Amino acid sequence: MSMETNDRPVLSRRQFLRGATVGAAGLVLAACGGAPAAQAPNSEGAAPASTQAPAQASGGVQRIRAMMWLNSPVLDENFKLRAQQFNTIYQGQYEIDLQLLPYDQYWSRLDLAYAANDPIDTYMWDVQAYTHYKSGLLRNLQADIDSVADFANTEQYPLELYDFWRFDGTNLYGLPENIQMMALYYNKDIFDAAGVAYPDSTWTYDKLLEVAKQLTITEGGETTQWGFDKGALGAWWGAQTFGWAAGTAFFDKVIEPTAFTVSDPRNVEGLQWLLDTVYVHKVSPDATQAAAIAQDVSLFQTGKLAMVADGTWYMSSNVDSPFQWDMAPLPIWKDQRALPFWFGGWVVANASKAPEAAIAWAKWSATDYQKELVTNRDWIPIRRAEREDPAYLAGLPTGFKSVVDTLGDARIGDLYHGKSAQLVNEVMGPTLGEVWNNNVTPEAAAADIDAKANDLLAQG
Amino acid sequence: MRSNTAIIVSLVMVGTLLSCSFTAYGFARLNAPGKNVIFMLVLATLMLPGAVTLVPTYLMFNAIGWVNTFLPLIVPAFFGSAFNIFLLRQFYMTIPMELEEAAKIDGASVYRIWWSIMLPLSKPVLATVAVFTFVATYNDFFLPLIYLADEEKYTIAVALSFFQGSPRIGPQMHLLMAAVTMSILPPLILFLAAQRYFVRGIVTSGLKG
Repeated sequence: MSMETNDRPVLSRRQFLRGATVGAAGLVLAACGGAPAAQAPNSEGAAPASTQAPAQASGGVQRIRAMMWLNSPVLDENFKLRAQQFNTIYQGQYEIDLQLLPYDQYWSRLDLAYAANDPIDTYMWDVQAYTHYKSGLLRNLQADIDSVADFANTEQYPLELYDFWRFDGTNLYGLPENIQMMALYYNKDIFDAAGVAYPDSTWTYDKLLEVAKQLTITEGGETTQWGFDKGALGAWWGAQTFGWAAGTAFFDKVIEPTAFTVSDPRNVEGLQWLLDTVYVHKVSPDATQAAAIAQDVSLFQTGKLAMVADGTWYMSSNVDSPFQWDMAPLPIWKDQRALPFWFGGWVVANASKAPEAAIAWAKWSATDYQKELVTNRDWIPIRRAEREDPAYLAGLPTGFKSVVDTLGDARIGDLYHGKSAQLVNEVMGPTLGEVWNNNVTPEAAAADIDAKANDLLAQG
Repeated sequence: MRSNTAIIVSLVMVGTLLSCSFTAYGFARLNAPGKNVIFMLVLATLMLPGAVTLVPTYLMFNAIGWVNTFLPLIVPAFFGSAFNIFLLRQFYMTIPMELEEAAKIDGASVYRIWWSIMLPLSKPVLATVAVFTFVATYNDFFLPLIYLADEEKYTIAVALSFFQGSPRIGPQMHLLMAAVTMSILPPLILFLAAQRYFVRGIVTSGLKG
C-alpha cells in the first residue's frame, strides 16, 4: 500500500487562496468579535471584563485594580473584606477590585501589566517593587501624604522609621499601613514543667542558650524535646541582627549598597553562634531532625520545642496550638538588642488612570482602617493609637507589648537594590543554607557571599 | 472553580481536536502551493519559548478586551498547535490511500473524507491528543493566572496556589496536599479510561522511544 501517490485530492491554487482568505477573515472577525462577547453578563464562558482597564466609569465612579499576594486563608479573607469595606464606604466615588495572587506570580503579573501599559493601580510593597521605583514606575506619594495632617504626627506614626523608605532621600513612594517585627516565641507549658522563668526583655543570647540546655530532653540517645530553634534567625535578615548588635551589618547601607561585609568577624560570630546551637550544644535540631518531628505543622507547633525566633506574623499560625505560648523580645547580643522590622504599605503606579482612588485606598488603609487591624489582629497597625489600644493588646499574647516596645532597636530588614532578588535568592539564601546544613563553615560562607555579592554590585 | 476548569478544558479539547485534525489532514493528504514550507513554519513554532510570546500575546488580548475572560484560554485552541498537528499528520500518513480513493469515487468531498473516513480511523491518536490536551490544560497554572482577574473565574490549578502561603508565613501544607490529591482524580480517571487508545496512539504515531 503506497502512502505516496499522485492521486491525492488536489486543491487548486484558486481554492487554496479562497480558503486562506476565508481563514484570515475568520481570524479578524474572531478577534474583533471578542470584546462584545466579554461583556455578556453572568456568562461563565465569557464573563464581563469588570476589572479591565481601570478607566473612570461614566457615573463618576473611579474604578481601580489593587493587588496583594496570598498569605493564609484568614489573612487573605481579611484583605477581601477590607476591599468590600472600602467599596461600601466610598460607594459612588471609588471602587476597588482587589486580586490576590501567589507571591512569585504576583510580581510576574505586575510586570506584565506594566509591559502592557495597563498597570495595576495600587499594590502592596515588597522589596521587588524597588525595581519599579528604579524604573520610574511608582508615584511619588510625598505630596499626597503631606496633605494629611495626621501623617505628620510623630506621636502616632513612626516617622523616624519612614526614612528607610525614602529611596531618593526625601520622598516616600509607598505609604506604610502596618509593621512587622521579630520576636522570641516560647512554649509556656515546657517552661512551667521545668520550673524555669519565662523569657523577658532582659534576656541575652547567653541566657537563652543556658535555658535551652535546661529544656532540651534526651532519652535513650534520642532528643524528645528541643530547647531552641533559630527559626527566622536563619534567614539573612535574621542572622544579620547579630552583626547589627555588634556594630556592623551584612552590607554598608540598605538603599543601594556598595559593599557586602558579611565576612566581618562580628557577623561571622553570630552565624557561628547559631550553628553551634545545633552541632555543638545540641539544643536545636538539624534540618533532618526537624523534618522528622514536624511535617504538616511547624516545629514549634508540635509542642516539642521550647523557643523559636520568628516574625510577628507567626502569631496567627500559633493561635490553635494545643499548648500555652507567649512571646518576648529578641534577646540581647553584645549588650545591644537588634531586630529587623518591615513595613507593609501600598504603592501607586505612576501611570494609574485613577490615581485619586488608588491614593484614597492607601490613605484609608493607613488611617481609618487601622481600627479594623485591632479587631483582626493579623497585622500590627502602623498607628500608635491602635497599636497600643488595650482592646488590641487584650487579644494578643501577654508579651506582645514588650516586643512592640523594642521597635526603637529595630532596623529595616530589607535590601534595596536593582539586583536584590539575585543577591538574596542566588547569593545569600543558598550560601546560608549550606551553613545551616553544616556543609561549609560560617567564615568560608561569609567570604563566598562577599565575593559573589560584591561582584554583582560591581556589575552595576 | 470546577465548572470553570470543566468549561475551559472541554472547549480547549474540542478546539484542539477539530483544528489540529483538520490541519493535519491537509498537511498529510492535500497538495497546495508551499505546503511543505508552511508545515516547516508550523513546526518551527515549537522552538518559540512561551516567555517570548507571552507579552505580545497579552498585549493583543488586552487590546481586544479579552483579559479577565476565558477567551484567551480557549480561542487559541481553535487555531491548532504544532505538536498535535505533527502527531496527527504522522498518523494520517499511515492510513491507506485506497480508502480515500474509494470514497472519492463515491463522490465524497475533501471535508466528507476527513470527517467520515479519517476521523473514525484516527481514534487512537485522537485519544492521545485529547489526553495530552486535557492534562496540559487542566494543569495550566500560568495562563489562567495571567488572564483571569476575578477569583470566581479561577481554575483548579490556580486555586491550589491559594494554599501556598507567602515566603514569610509559608504554605498550609496539609491543606495543599489534600487539595492536590483531590485535583489529581479527574486526569487519573481520564487516563485510565483512555489508556488503551492512548498507548496505541503513541505507538502508531511513532512517538514511542
